[in-house]
Parts: sequence; structure tokens; C-alpha cells
Amino acid sequence: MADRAVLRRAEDVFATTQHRTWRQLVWQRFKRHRLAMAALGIIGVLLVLTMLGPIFIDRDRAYRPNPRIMNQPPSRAHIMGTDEVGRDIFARIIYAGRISLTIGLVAVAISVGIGTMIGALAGFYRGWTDTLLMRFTDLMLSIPSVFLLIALAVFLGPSVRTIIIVLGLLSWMPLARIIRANFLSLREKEFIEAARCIGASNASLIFRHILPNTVAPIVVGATLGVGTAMLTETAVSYLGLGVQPPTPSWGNMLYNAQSQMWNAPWISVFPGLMILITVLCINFIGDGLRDALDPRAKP
Amino acid sequence: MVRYIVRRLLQSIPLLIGITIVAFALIHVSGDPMAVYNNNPRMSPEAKAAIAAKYGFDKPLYMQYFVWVSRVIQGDFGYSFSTFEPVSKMIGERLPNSLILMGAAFCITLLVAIPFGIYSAVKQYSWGDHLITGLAFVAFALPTFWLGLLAIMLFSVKFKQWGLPNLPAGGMYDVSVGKTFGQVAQHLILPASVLGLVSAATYIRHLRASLLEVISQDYVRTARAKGLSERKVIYRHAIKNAMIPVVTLAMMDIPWLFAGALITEQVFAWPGMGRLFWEHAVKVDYPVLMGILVIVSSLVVLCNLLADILYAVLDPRIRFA
Repeated sequence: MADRAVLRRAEDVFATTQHRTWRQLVWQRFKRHRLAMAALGIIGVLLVLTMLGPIFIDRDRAYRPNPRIMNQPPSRAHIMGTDEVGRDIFARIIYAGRISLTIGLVAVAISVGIGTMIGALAGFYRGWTDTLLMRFTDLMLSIPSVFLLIALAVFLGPSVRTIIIVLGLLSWMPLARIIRANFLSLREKEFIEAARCIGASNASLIFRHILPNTVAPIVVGATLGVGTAMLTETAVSYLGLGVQPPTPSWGNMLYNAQSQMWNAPWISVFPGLMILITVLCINFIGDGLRDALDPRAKP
Repeated sequence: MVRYIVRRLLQSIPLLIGITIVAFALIHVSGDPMAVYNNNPRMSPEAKAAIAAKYGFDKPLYMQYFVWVSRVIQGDFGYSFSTFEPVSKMIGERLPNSLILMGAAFCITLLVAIPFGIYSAVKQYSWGDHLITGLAFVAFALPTFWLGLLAIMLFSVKFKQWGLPNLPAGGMYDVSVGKTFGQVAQHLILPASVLGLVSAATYIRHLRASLLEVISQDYVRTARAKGLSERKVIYRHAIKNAMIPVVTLAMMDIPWLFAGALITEQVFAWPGMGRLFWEHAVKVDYPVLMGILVIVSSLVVLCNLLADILYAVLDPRIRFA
């Protein structure tokens, strides 16, 4: 960590001689992580399917009950079968994926925003700002977030928006700690001193000079956070406080299918698999990024 | 060492005060305790005011907070709005159950994670290692409740149908038999295994990574060069240092264990604190919710304190920092 600036400079020299930017170098290292590349491909396909799918798939297939085709196993007409009220599971998976992925991505955006802000302010200004912000972080870390999540979901009424905001508000703490630690060490470096000498403002020091140097933990934390947020949404759905039917999410599809787990396994297996595959791929990408962004790794 | 412990103890006092403030603020800012009566035509405004006065809701919020906190310090969490029992008694009944579940799960986690983590690191890139890391990744990405439901479906419902020895699907003991040790142990197997195995996944990954890093260090090479057996090198020299990050992980993991226990309790109808919280959250029962939040968070603070002390025992560098 301490040599990051030096190494970055070395990397810059390396990059100019090889005509490669830092970003290209990271991408080059990431590409060698075959599992992460495969995972990236799968997530890409999933994103396209869930974001564009609703254009091609009729909304009624996912939402309108059809008593004539209840509990049908996978067939040519319904490739993932139909559920207990005759809705097409594939269509529901696509519509639900949109909600589940949105929850994961937006919640993480909120959490990364808060975590970075708090970590940066605490690490940059030190002193009582640091003490105050970090004690608050400790406090938030010692209250198990699922309890707060349940309380807030009950009081604010469960909806997609509540879940996103609450998930974001309750998951920024680990990132804030890492960012703070990086800021504490980076602010003492010569290049920051140099920037200060030429009269850079505090805001410019924080955002233009220090923050770009701690991008690795932010990227990795954000990636892994999407998976965690999606799993938490599933858990909250199981408690009946997640996304409310008829709007489907992978979590509530799984929850609603629990009584049919043995008679009609396809109703629960497919949403379960979707969660498993997505979170698995996100974790692989996160690991790949961690290796690729690590300046100690060989180029 | 004593000074370190005292310092850590003093540091946790503001944390505990903060916890009571958050618990109180959360519950009181997000809802009005009198809202239950809003749609009740038989409640006259006078009757409402009388109830509000009885519970102290007519006083300003900070006064309510001080009244509540001064009672909490004396161990009095007030009375439930729905069952009218003292909250401390309700928590007292449920807390041991949660601790039994979490303790058993934690033992299973360690029993599974330590041998598999060591194996995975010592035999790096063998097919056994690939299998263990792969399974750990999958367990990490599975919704806990789905795993729990699958386990119930298989080990209690289907095994019973197939005439195999089966495990109970939920609850803490069979009402017809009573709360005996054997009954509780039998009912504990499934929930504790599910909770323990899921968290074992994280531990395996961390132990493997940390042991691999330690093994590549100079002092391990020295130990090997001295001609020590591989067993001695790993178990006497490498493992001690490799366990330090695992202790950190256990420390960070404690709130998560409470959360996981909440879901597991719900799946297996285990009468613990998490379930109590959920049941009363749905009923908007303020005193119970505030009581549980304070107790659970204080336990987390206490566990962190214990972990810190353990950490200082393991790693002398911390003590003198």
C-alpha cells in the first residue's frame, strides 16, 4: 500500500514506453483470469437479456394468471415451465431480473457514494472529523443490519425504492474504513505535498489527487457489494418484507415457490439458480478485478 | 495487558450510548406509537391522551429517551404492547435459544473450515483444493433460506417418506416429549449445520489465502531447512500466524451471524431472538424492538471486545501499539 504511488509512477513509465495506459494494463491482467472473463460474459448476457427482454416478451406472460396452464413442467412453449397460477417462469425471471439487478446496482451506488465520502473526509481531515465519523461507522457496524432492515421495511412500507435506499444506507461501513486507511497513508505522500505546494484546494486534493489512487478497493468493494445486496434482498423477501407481489424479484419468486419445492421443482429451481449464477459470477469478477488492480501483480 | 483491556472497555461505553440513541431514534422517528388507535372509532381524543400520558408519549422526545435509557440501565425494558409481558422476560426466554443456535453453528463452522482450509492451502491446485474452493464459492452465493428449505425438504420430509431416519423439520423440541437435551440436540442439527456451513465458506477462503501467504514466508522456509517434518512446519509454525486474519474475520462476522441466525430461526421455526424481533416488527411493538436492538448490538460490542483481547493475546504487536 505504501509504495502504491511509486509503483504507479513506475507503471506510468512502463505504460509510456509500451504505449499502454493504466486502464489497458488492468484490462490485460484481468483478461488472463479466465474464470472472471467467463463470469463477465455471463453477466453481460444477463444484463442484455433482462434490460432488453421486456421489449420482446409480453408483460402478460409474466403477470397475468392463466388457470389453464398451471404448474406445467418446462416444455417448448414454456422453457422454464409455469408457476402455480399459470404464469410463464422464463418471462417472470426476465422481468424479475430487471428488478433484482437494479436493486443490487443502485443500492451499491448509494453505499459506495456514502462509504467513499465518509472514508475520504475522515482520512483526509483526521482529528475530530475522523473520530466522529469513525465512531459513527463503528456504531453502524455493531448493529446487525438485518434488524435495522426489517424495522425500516416495516415502518416505511416495503417497496422497491425503500429496499434500495435501506440496503444502500446499511452497507457502506466496510468500504468507508478501507478508504479512510488509504487516505491516511496517501495524504502523506510527496505527490500530495507537491500538489499542495502548487496551491491545490482541499477538494481538488481529495477528488483529483488522492481518490484516483484508491480506486482499487472501491471497484472491488462495489462489485462484491452487488452480490451481497442481491442476497440480502432475497433474505428480506423471505421475511415477506422485500419486493411485494405481483412485481416479481428473484427473491420473492423463490419465496413464493417454497411450498411447491418438491412437486414442481422448476418453480423454485430457476430463480434460485439465477441468484446463484449471478452472485457467483459477480464474486468471480470481483476476485479477478482484485488481482488485476493490485499494483504488486506483475504486468 | 490489563491496561489494554481497561482501555478497550472504556472505548465501548460511547458505543453503547450511541446504540441506545440509534435504537430509540430509529423506532421513534419512523413511526408514531399512537398510530394503532387512529382508525379506532371507539377511542375518544381524551382516552388517547390518557394512554399517551400513561406511556409518556406526551413528553418531548429527548425526555422520553432519558426515561427509557435510565430504565434500560436498570434492566427494565418496559412492557410489550401486544403481549403485555415485560420485555426483559421475553428476551430472557429467547436469548439463550439464539445463543445455543449461534454457538453450535460457530463450532460447526470452525470444525469444517479449519481442516478444509488447511488442506486446501497445503495441497494448493490439487483437485481436492479445486473442489473445496468451488463449493465454498457456491455456498457463498446461495440464499441461506433456500439452502435451509432444501435441507428440510430432503432430511425431514423425504427421508420420512422413504422410511429413513429423519430429522425434525422445525421447532426446538417435540411437545409430546418435552424439552430434553436429546430433543433440543436433535432439533438443532439442521439449523446449526445450515448456518455453520454457509459461514464456513468465507472462513475457508480466508484461511486458505492467509496460510498460503504465511507458507511463502522466510521463517517457514527456515523451519523446513532445519529439517522439520512438514506436519510440524504447518501445525506448529505456520498455522499460528495464519489464524490471525481468521480471528479478525470472526470479529467482523459476529453481526452477520446474528443476521444469519434471524433467517435460520425463521426457516426452522427456532424460537430465538431474531424470530421474536420479526414477529414484533410486524406488530410494530416498540418496546420489544428497542429492547432487542439494544441487547443484540451490546452483544456484538461485547463479542468484539472479547475478540480484541484474544487478538492481543495472539499478536503481541497489538498490545503495545
